[in-house]
Amino acid sequence: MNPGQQELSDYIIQIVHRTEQGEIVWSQAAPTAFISTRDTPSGPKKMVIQRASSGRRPEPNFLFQVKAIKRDEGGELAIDTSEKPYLRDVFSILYDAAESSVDSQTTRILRELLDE
Amino acid sequence: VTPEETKEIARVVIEGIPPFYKGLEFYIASLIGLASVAFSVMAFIEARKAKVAAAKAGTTVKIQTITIELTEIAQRLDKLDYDLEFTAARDLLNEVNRRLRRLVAPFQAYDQFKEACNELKASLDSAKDALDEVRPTSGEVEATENVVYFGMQGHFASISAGVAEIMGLFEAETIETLNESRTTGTL
Repeated sequence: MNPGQQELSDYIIQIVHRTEQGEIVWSQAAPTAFISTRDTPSGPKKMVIQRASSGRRPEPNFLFQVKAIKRDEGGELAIDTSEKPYLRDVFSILYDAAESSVDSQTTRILRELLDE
Repeated sequence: VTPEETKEIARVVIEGIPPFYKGLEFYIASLIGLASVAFSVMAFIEARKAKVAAAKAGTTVKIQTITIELTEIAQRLDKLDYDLEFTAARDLLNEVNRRLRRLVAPFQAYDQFKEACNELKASLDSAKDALDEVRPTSGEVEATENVVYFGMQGHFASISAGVAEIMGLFEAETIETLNESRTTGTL
Protein backbone atom coordinates (compact mmCIF):
# COMPACT_ATOMS: atom_id res chain seq x y z
CA MET A 1 0.00 0.00 0.00
CA ASN A 2 1.49 3.36 -1.03
CA PRO A 3 1.27 6.45 1.27
CA GLY A 4 -1.81 7.80 -0.54
CA GLN A 5 -3.62 4.49 -0.22
CA GLN A 6 -2.57 4.24 3.42
CA GLU A 7 -3.94 7.72 4.13
CA LEU A 8 -7.24 6.82 2.49
CA SER A 9 -7.40 3.64 4.51
CA ASP A 10 -6.66 5.60 7.72
CA TYR A 11 -9.58 7.96 7.08
CA ILE A 12 -11.93 5.00 6.65
CA ILE A 13 -10.63 3.52 9.90
CA GLN A 14 -11.35 6.87 11.59
CA ILE A 15 -14.96 6.64 10.39
CA VAL A 16 -15.08 3.12 11.83
CA HIS A 17 -13.81 4.37 15.22
CA ARG A 18 -16.27 7.26 15.30
CA THR A 19 -19.06 4.83 14.41
CA GLU A 20 -18.01 2.54 17.25
CA GLN A 21 -17.97 5.51 19.63
CA GLY A 22 -21.51 6.39 18.54
CA GLU A 23 -20.44 9.70 17.07
CA ILE A 24 -21.43 8.63 13.57
CA VAL A 25 -24.85 7.01 13.42
CA TRP A 26 -25.98 4.87 10.51
CA SER A 27 -29.43 3.92 9.32
CA GLN A 28 -30.34 0.97 7.17
CA ALA A 29 -31.60 1.87 3.71
CA ALA A 30 -31.66 -1.68 2.40
CA PRO A 31 -30.54 -5.04 3.80
CA THR A 32 -27.04 -4.42 2.40
CA ALA A 33 -26.87 -0.59 2.38
CA PHE A 34 -26.32 1.80 5.27
CA ILE A 35 -26.58 5.59 5.21
CA SER A 36 -25.27 8.24 7.56
CA THR A 37 -25.86 11.98 7.30
CA ARG A 38 -23.35 14.55 8.60
CA ASP A 39 -22.96 18.28 8.48
CA THR A 40 -19.71 19.47 6.95
CA PRO A 41 -18.36 23.00 6.33
CA SER A 42 -19.49 22.66 2.70
CA GLY A 43 -23.00 21.57 3.65
CA PRO A 44 -24.74 18.40 4.77
CA LYS A 45 -23.42 15.21 3.23
CA LYS A 46 -24.54 11.63 3.32
CA MET A 47 -22.26 8.61 3.40
CA VAL A 48 -23.39 5.31 1.98
CA ILE A 49 -21.68 1.97 2.50
CA GLN A 50 -23.04 -0.92 0.51
CA ARG A 51 -22.05 -4.54 0.06
CA ALA A 52 -22.83 -6.33 -3.18
CA SER A 53 -22.19 -9.86 -4.31
CA SER A 54 -20.59 -9.81 -7.70
CA GLY A 55 -22.27 -12.48 -9.76
CA ARG A 56 -20.01 -15.51 -10.14
CA ARG A 57 -17.12 -14.21 -8.00
CA PRO A 58 -17.29 -15.35 -4.38
CA GLU A 59 -15.88 -12.27 -2.63
CA PRO A 60 -18.26 -9.32 -2.11
CA ASN A 61 -17.65 -5.82 -3.40
CA PHE A 62 -18.17 -2.68 -1.35
CA LEU A 63 -19.25 0.72 -2.58
CA PHE A 64 -18.59 3.74 -0.39
CA GLN A 65 -20.17 7.01 -1.47
CA VAL A 66 -20.22 10.52 -0.11
CA LYS A 67 -22.85 12.76 -1.60
CA ALA A 68 -24.03 16.27 -1.08
CA ILE A 69 -27.61 16.20 0.09
CA LYS A 70 -28.32 19.18 -2.11
CA ARG A 71 -27.19 18.00 -5.50
CA ASP A 72 -25.77 21.34 -6.63
CA GLU A 73 -23.32 21.45 -3.74
CA GLY A 74 -21.01 18.85 -5.26
CA GLY A 75 -18.38 17.11 -3.17
CA GLU A 76 -19.35 13.67 -4.35
CA LEU A 77 -17.15 10.65 -3.88
CA ALA A 78 -17.60 7.02 -4.87
CA ILE A 79 -15.12 4.26 -4.12
CA ASP A 80 -15.76 0.79 -5.49
CA THR A 81 -13.61 -2.06 -4.20
CA SER A 82 -13.73 -3.76 -7.60
CA GLU A 83 -11.53 -0.84 -8.70
CA LYS A 84 -9.62 -0.46 -5.41
CA PRO A 85 -9.34 -3.99 -4.02
CA TYR A 86 -6.84 -2.90 -1.34
CA LEU A 87 -9.72 -1.16 0.44
CA ARG A 88 -11.92 -4.26 0.59
CA ASP A 89 -10.83 -5.16 4.12
CA VAL A 90 -11.35 -1.68 5.61
CA PHE A 91 -14.71 -1.29 3.92
CA SER A 92 -15.71 -4.70 5.21
CA ILE A 93 -14.87 -3.44 8.73
CA LEU A 94 -16.81 -0.21 8.11
CA TYR A 95 -19.79 -2.20 6.82
CA ASP A 96 -19.78 -4.36 9.96
CA ALA A 97 -19.50 -1.23 12.12
CA ALA A 98 -22.47 0.38 10.33
CA GLU A 99 -24.48 -2.81 10.81
CA SER A 100 -23.59 -2.82 14.51
CA SER A 101 -24.60 0.84 14.73
CA VAL A 102 -28.06 -0.02 13.39
CA ASP A 103 -28.31 -2.99 15.75
CA SER A 104 -27.40 -0.72 18.70
CA GLN A 105 -30.13 1.74 17.74
CA THR A 106 -32.64 -1.08 17.41
CA THR A 107 -31.65 -2.37 20.83
CA ARG A 108 -31.94 1.13 22.32
CA ILE A 109 -35.42 1.63 20.85
CA LEU A 110 -36.60 -1.74 22.11
CA ARG A 111 -35.14 -1.02 25.54
CA GLU A 112 -36.97 2.31 25.66
CA LEU A 113 -40.21 0.59 24.68
CA LEU A 114 -39.79 -2.02 27.39
CA ASP A 115 -38.78 0.59 30.01
CA GLU A 116 -42.04 2.43 29.40
CA VAL B 1 -48.81 -99.88 -72.36
CA THR B 2 -46.78 -101.48 -69.63
CA PRO B 3 -45.71 -99.63 -66.53
CA GLU B 4 -42.12 -99.69 -67.75
CA GLU B 5 -43.15 -98.04 -70.98
CA THR B 6 -45.12 -95.40 -69.06
CA LYS B 7 -42.05 -94.57 -67.00
CA GLU B 8 -39.92 -94.38 -70.11
CA ILE B 9 -42.40 -92.00 -71.75
CA ALA B 10 -42.46 -89.82 -68.61
CA ARG B 11 -38.64 -89.69 -68.47
CA VAL B 12 -38.42 -88.71 -72.12
CA VAL B 13 -41.03 -85.93 -71.58
CA ILE B 14 -39.30 -84.61 -68.45
CA GLU B 15 -35.88 -84.61 -69.99
CA GLY B 16 -37.28 -82.86 -73.05
CA ILE B 17 -38.43 -79.80 -71.00
CA PRO B 18 -35.47 -77.56 -69.93
CA PRO B 19 -35.47 -76.36 -66.26
CA PHE B 20 -36.98 -72.89 -65.62
CA TYR B 21 -33.66 -71.28 -64.63
CA LYS B 22 -32.18 -72.13 -67.98
CA GLY B 23 -34.61 -69.82 -69.74
CA LEU B 24 -33.81 -66.17 -70.58
CA GLU B 25 -37.21 -65.04 -69.26
CA PHE B 26 -36.27 -66.12 -65.75
CA TYR B 27 -33.20 -63.88 -65.72
CA ILE B 28 -35.05 -60.93 -67.21
CA ALA B 29 -37.82 -61.26 -64.61
CA SER B 30 -35.27 -61.68 -61.82
CA LEU B 31 -33.35 -58.57 -62.90
CA ILE B 32 -36.53 -56.49 -63.02
CA GLY B 33 -37.52 -57.78 -59.57
CA LEU B 34 -34.11 -57.03 -58.04
CA ALA B 35 -34.04 -53.56 -59.62
CA SER B 36 -37.48 -52.84 -58.14
CA VAL B 37 -36.34 -53.89 -54.68
CA ALA B 38 -33.15 -51.79 -54.99
CA PHE B 39 -35.09 -48.72 -56.07
CA SER B 40 -37.57 -49.23 -53.23
CA VAL B 41 -34.72 -49.41 -50.69
CA MET B 42 -33.08 -46.29 -52.17
CA ALA B 43 -36.40 -44.43 -52.08
CA PHE B 44 -36.87 -45.43 -48.43
CA ILE B 45 -33.37 -44.23 -47.51
CA GLU B 46 -33.86 -40.90 -49.31
CA ALA B 47 -37.26 -40.38 -47.69
CA ARG B 48 -35.75 -41.05 -44.31
CA LYS B 49 -32.93 -38.57 -44.96
CA ALA B 50 -35.47 -35.98 -46.09
CA LYS B 51 -37.51 -36.52 -42.93
CA VAL B 52 -34.43 -36.07 -40.73
CA ALA B 53 -33.38 -32.99 -42.71
CA ALA B 54 -36.87 -31.49 -42.44
CA ALA B 55 -36.87 -32.07 -38.68
CA LYS B 56 -33.42 -30.46 -38.36
CA ALA B 57 -34.48 -27.55 -40.54
CA GLY B 58 -37.48 -27.05 -38.27
CA THR B 59 -35.23 -27.09 -35.20
CA THR B 60 -32.84 -24.64 -36.88
CA VAL B 61 -35.64 -22.20 -37.63
CA LYS B 62 -36.89 -22.52 -34.03
CA ILE B 63 -33.35 -21.97 -32.68
CA GLN B 64 -32.93 -18.89 -34.87
CA THR B 65 -36.22 -17.46 -33.62
CA ILE B 66 -35.15 -18.06 -30.00
CA THR B 67 -31.73 -16.54 -30.70
CA ILE B 68 -33.40 -13.34 -31.88
CA GLU B 69 -35.41 -13.19 -28.66
CA LEU B 70 -32.30 -13.92 -26.56
CA THR B 71 -30.44 -11.10 -28.34
CA GLU B 72 -33.21 -8.69 -27.39
CA ILE B 73 -33.04 -9.80 -23.73
CA ALA B 74 -29.23 -9.46 -23.68
CA GLN B 75 -29.47 -5.95 -25.10
CA ARG B 76 -31.97 -4.95 -22.42
CA LEU B 77 -29.69 -6.33 -19.70
CA ASP B 78 -26.72 -4.43 -21.09
CA LYS B 79 -28.53 -1.08 -20.95
CA LEU B 80 -29.10 -0.69 -17.23
CA ASP B 81 -29.75 2.82 -15.99
CA TYR B 82 -27.28 4.06 -13.38
CA ASP B 83 -30.23 5.40 -11.38
CA LEU B 84 -32.07 2.08 -11.57
CA GLU B 85 -34.85 2.00 -8.99
CA PHE B 86 -35.86 -1.08 -7.06
CA THR B 87 -39.26 -1.44 -8.75
CA ALA B 88 -37.69 -1.16 -12.21
CA ALA B 89 -35.02 -3.73 -11.28
CA ARG B 90 -37.68 -6.08 -9.88
CA ASP B 91 -39.85 -5.77 -12.99
CA LEU B 92 -36.88 -6.28 -15.30
CA LEU B 93 -35.65 -9.33 -13.39
CA ASN B 94 -39.12 -10.88 -13.25
CA GLU B 95 -39.59 -10.42 -16.97
CA VAL B 96 -36.12 -11.68 -17.88
CA ASN B 97 -36.45 -14.62 -15.49
CA ARG B 98 -39.78 -15.70 -16.94
CA ARG B 99 -38.75 -15.30 -20.58
CA LEU B 100 -35.35 -16.97 -20.24
CA ARG B 101 -36.68 -19.98 -18.37
CA ARG B 102 -39.39 -20.44 -20.99
CA LEU B 103 -36.90 -20.11 -23.88
CA VAL B 104 -34.26 -22.50 -22.55
CA ALA B 105 -36.66 -25.08 -21.09
CA PRO B 106 -36.92 -27.19 -24.31
CA PHE B 107 -33.12 -27.42 -24.59
CA GLN B 108 -32.26 -28.42 -21.03
CA ALA B 109 -32.52 -32.12 -21.82
CA TYR B 110 -29.82 -31.95 -24.51
CA ASP B 111 -26.29 -32.63 -23.31
CA GLN B 112 -24.74 -29.81 -25.35
CA PHE B 113 -26.99 -27.19 -23.69
CA LYS B 114 -27.47 -28.66 -20.23
CA GLU B 115 -24.48 -27.02 -18.49
CA ALA B 116 -25.09 -23.55 -19.97
CA CYS B 117 -28.80 -23.73 -19.10
CA ASN B 118 -28.02 -24.73 -15.50
CA GLU B 119 -25.50 -21.89 -15.14
CA LEU B 120 -28.01 -19.41 -16.50
CA LYS B 121 -30.66 -20.61 -14.07
CA ALA B 122 -28.15 -20.34 -11.19
CA SER B 123 -27.41 -16.75 -12.24
CA LEU B 124 -31.14 -15.96 -12.27
CA ASP B 125 -31.56 -17.42 -8.77
CA SER B 126 -28.51 -15.50 -7.55
CA ALA B 127 -29.91 -12.25 -9.01
CA LYS B 128 -33.20 -12.87 -7.21
CA ASP B 129 -31.29 -13.18 -3.91
CA ALA B 130 -29.33 -10.00 -4.71
CA LEU B 131 -32.55 -8.12 -5.43
CA ASP B 132 -33.82 -9.05 -1.97
CA GLU B 133 -30.64 -7.50 -0.57
CA VAL B 134 -31.37 -4.09 -2.09
CA ARG B 135 -35.04 -4.04 -1.21
CA PRO B 136 -35.62 -0.62 0.38
CA THR B 137 -36.21 -0.75 4.11
CA SER B 138 -36.67 3.01 4.17
CA GLY B 139 -37.27 5.74 1.59
CA GLU B 140 -33.58 6.60 1.66
CA VAL B 141 -32.53 3.92 -0.78
CA GLU B 142 -34.53 5.59 -3.56
CA ALA B 143 -32.80 8.85 -2.72
CA THR B 144 -29.45 7.13 -3.17
CA GLU B 145 -29.97 6.41 -6.80
CA ASN B 146 -27.23 3.89 -7.56
CA VAL B 147 -27.64 1.51 -4.59
CA VAL B 148 -29.88 -0.79 -6.63
CA TYR B 149 -27.66 -0.43 -9.70
CA PHE B 150 -24.53 -1.35 -7.73
CA GLY B 151 -26.24 -4.29 -6.06
CA MET B 152 -27.65 -5.70 -9.28
CA GLN B 153 -25.32 -4.85 -12.13
CA GLY B 154 -22.92 -7.76 -11.49
CA HIS B 155 -25.82 -10.19 -11.51
CA PHE B 156 -27.39 -8.76 -14.63
CA ALA B 157 -23.95 -8.98 -16.26
CA SER B 158 -23.74 -12.67 -15.27
CA ILE B 159 -27.18 -13.32 -16.76
CA SER B 160 -26.18 -11.48 -19.93
CA ALA B 161 -23.00 -13.59 -20.16
CA GLY B 162 -25.05 -16.77 -19.71
CA VAL B 163 -27.45 -15.68 -22.45
CA ALA B 164 -24.52 -14.95 -24.77
CA GLU B 165 -23.09 -18.40 -24.07
CA ILE B 166 -26.37 -20.11 -24.95
CA MET B 167 -26.68 -18.00 -28.09
CA GLY B 168 -23.18 -19.16 -29.09
CA LEU B 169 -24.16 -22.79 -28.56
CA PHE B 170 -27.32 -22.27 -30.61
CA GLU B 171 -25.31 -20.73 -33.44
CA ALA B 172 -22.84 -23.63 -33.33
CA GLU B 173 -25.75 -26.06 -33.53
CA THR B 174 -27.22 -24.19 -36.50
CA ILE B 175 -23.89 -24.19 -38.35
CA GLU B 176 -23.46 -27.90 -37.63
CA THR B 177 -26.92 -28.65 -39.01
CA LEU B 178 -26.26 -26.61 -42.14
CA ASN B 179 -22.92 -28.36 -42.72
CA GLU B 180 -24.56 -31.73 -42.22
CA SER B 181 -27.31 -30.83 -44.67
CA ARG B 182 -24.74 -29.76 -47.26
CA THR B 183 -22.78 -33.00 -46.77
CA THR B 184 -25.84 -35.21 -47.15
CA GLY B 185 -27.14 -33.13 -50.04
CA THR B 186 -30.45 -32.38 -48.36
CA LEU B 187 -29.95 -28.63 -48.54
